[in-house]
Amino acid sequence: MHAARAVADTRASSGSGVDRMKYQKIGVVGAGVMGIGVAENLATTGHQVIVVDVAEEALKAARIQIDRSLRCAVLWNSGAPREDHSAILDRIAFTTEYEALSAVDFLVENSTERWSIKKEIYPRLDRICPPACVFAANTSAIAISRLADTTTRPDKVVGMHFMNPVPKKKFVEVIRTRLNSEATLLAVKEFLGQMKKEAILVNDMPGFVSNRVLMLMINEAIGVVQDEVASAHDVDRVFVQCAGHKMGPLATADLIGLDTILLTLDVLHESYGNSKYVPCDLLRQMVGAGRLGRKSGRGFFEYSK
Amino acid sequence: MRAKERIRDYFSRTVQASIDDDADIFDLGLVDSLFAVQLVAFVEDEFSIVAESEDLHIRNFCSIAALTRFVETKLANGLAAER
Repeated sequence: MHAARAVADTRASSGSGVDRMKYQKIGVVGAGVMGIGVAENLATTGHQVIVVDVAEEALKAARIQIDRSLRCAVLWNSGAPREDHSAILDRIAFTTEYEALSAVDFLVENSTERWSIKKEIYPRLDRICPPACVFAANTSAIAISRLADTTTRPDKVVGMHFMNPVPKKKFVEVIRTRLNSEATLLAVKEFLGQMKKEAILVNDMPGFVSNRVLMLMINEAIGVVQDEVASAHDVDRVFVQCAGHKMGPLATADLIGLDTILLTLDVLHESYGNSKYVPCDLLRQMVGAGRLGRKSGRGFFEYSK
Repeated sequence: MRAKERIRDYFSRTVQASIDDDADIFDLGLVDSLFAVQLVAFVEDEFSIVAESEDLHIRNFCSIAALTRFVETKLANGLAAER
């Protein structure tokens, strides 16, 4: 066997139990909450990962956060793989250079939920990445077809809506467009299998299933706090204690990030033209004040830095 | 503020419940993947220490009392290393 190939095969199988993965080198665009989770999941399952973000600071923070998350796994999961966390971290390269994505086998895009940003990113990725590379948009609400239209490979652009925290969530909402080929959907299934995940396939409409429903619930829960019907703590208790939800809507909002909630509601409002998606004033005020949820240390609840 | 008070204060702000110093936070069901990372981040940032792989054991993080012992030991070892 050729030496380089032998090294590649060793790397691909290490820590993952997967002997030969079809997709080994994965591009991850965006080093925010979701990009970090996707990169960690990919590295843990044996992939070589290239994380690209325009902000050097975001990349530094991403590295620290992934390192911390890998180290902490033993605390909450006694069955966590005992592979040295630094070996997993070494599979991830962090860079501001998009050109580093020129040889990736698969790409997951996780940039900020703004059309003005994404419409610049996709044509750029289209020029740099190999023609066979599938682009998976990990977006909250923007229609996938709209993103696909900015590339020369619309059949290979699919929605892949991961949930947070990515390494802990087994299922992914996959959004297919009318332009997707069967080959692309098969590639998606295989790729998610390599990440130890399964797809729930839905069709392309803004917000898909999850966020078209969830954003309304969260926005209304914020409205309840705004109207002083109940405290944030009690709003969530109603859903957790009475309705049996694992997490209340406001803790969920803090986990997603209130800035992302606001951007997603704006996209839904613009897309459907329905006033039911108009964000609550309280949400705008909190985002304006920098209370973004877990990522800033404080949202409806405190997480402390 | 002493380490124990700072840790108590952290729990009162984040879990919004009164917890006995010796109560096992794992038994209480407070620790999931998110809280584990958050808790370690708090300890490392608040006390300027690094929890090494060998430190990341449930016995060091299972209660306010255990965390306090862990932090005080790390701080003492750090001071000793500086001398």
